[in-house]
Amino acid sequence: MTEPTALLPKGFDELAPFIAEWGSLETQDERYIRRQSLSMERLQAYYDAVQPRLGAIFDHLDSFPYGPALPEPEALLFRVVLAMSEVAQAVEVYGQPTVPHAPANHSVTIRVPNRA
Amino acid sequence: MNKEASDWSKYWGQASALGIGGATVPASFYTSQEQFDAEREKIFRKVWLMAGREAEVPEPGSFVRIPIPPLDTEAVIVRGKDGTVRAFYNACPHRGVALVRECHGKTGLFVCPYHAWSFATDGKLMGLPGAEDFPHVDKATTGLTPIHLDIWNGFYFLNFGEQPEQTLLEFLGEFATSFGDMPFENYPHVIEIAQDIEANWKTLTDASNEGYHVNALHKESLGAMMTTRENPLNNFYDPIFSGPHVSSTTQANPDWRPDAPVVLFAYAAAAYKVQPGLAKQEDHTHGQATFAEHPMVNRVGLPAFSVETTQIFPFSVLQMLTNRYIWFQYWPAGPNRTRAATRLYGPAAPANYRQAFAEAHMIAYSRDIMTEDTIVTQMQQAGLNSGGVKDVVLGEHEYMLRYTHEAVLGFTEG
Ligand code: FES
Ligand SMILES: [Fe+2]
Repeated sequence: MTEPTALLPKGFDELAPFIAEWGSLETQDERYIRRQSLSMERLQAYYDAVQPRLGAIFDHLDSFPYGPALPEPEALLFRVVLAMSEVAQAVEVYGQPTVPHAPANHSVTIRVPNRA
Repeated sequence: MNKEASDWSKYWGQASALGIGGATVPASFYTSQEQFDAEREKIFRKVWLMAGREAEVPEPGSFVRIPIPPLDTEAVIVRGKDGTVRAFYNACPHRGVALVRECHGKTGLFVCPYHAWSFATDGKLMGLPGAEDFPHVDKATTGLTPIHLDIWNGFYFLNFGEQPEQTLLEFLGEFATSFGDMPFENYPHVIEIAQDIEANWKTLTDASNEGYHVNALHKESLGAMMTTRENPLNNFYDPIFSGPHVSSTTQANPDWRPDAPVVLFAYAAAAYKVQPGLAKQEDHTHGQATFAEHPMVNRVGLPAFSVETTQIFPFSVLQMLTNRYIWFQYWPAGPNRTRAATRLYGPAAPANYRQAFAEAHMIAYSRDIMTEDTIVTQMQQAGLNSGGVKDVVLGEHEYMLRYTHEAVLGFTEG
């Protein structure tokens, strides 16, 4: 079976080059680990493409009710834009992908308390 | 206190002026098995342990299972049919099985998977297959072994002593009253950052309780936000003590203006105010009281308040911010090992996508700051374990650490 081609909503094509890196990640820890694995050039390229579009992206996403029933193109867009929560830390705070002195592939669980 | 005062430095806490000793402490305080064993028996098996929020078990039958690393045990916290919250060891009185496997849930009956003994939400044995084989088991007096539990201002505390030496209110001392109406219940939305850290738990309470490292270790993440020309070392203000517990006030930098585009986007998008300081009417959410107006928060009236840091002995640190709070739990798991849970509490869950993004950004930001601390404490532990340092040295403004160390030693050497 062939995978359906992942499609972003119309008007957000410039995010397509980042689908491979970010489009399938579901958790904050997965995004944190991906951030650490990418070069500063890749992180900066994402930042430069997405930061100017944040307002437009969320205007679009917030035209849908918040919840699990987001159509797949919008769900993909949301997963791709959530990467900015991690990329901005590298670009705006540290000027490097990792927190200084942190070990490689540093993993930190984010959860609701008392949940596995 | 005089809110007109302009020389805020007079409110800085200083160890010698406060009569706090502990200018040095031996490295073994953080490294030795003997010290850890003494803490386990004389502190963690004796005092009330701040372990969770009552809201975790909202309804009759709601339960959570929580590990208690210093004691190598697990507690089950459950709200009974009668509405009372109780705690039990997670251990079946038949042959000992840790019967509750889910980390949370709702049930009317706990059934042990091994031989199907069953227990009500008040711990009583309800049934055992083939009861006639156990003529020596009195159903009326058999059940899950209780752990002392008491609740203060929505927090449940556990006490593993046979009989607690103090009531919870006695243990909290004056803070029981003065912090008793701190409006924690207005911040029900919680996210936890969980990490296992290769460092002694006291290196982590230490890192939470001084500002000296802010403009060094956290230079990139917090330095400009917090540090002022008048207080370049981020000294804490206005120490308040209650038994082994201590609280202090931290400033923000009133001249700090964030300029990073994504930070600005996230601040504007957030469901509730995340940045420090500047408590104003418009920061109120949902018409509820915030920490900023509580009399125990920023008592001296710093014009740019950031955090009230309250250490609840032994391993909890609460940080009351303008419109949210953080609860650091540093559960000891060995001389060189801590299970850290940093809980970020806010007034409301995200209600749209931009708020969800703002929360993800806030979590990443908080986790990275937390990581700066946890990584450096692991480096500290490595250095302490190396034998190259005999005594750790503490400054005058590191008084919260020194106070806590004296409290620890009061138990372990007492
Ligand atoms: S050990 Fe629990 S029923 Fe046997
Ligand atoms: Fe820190």
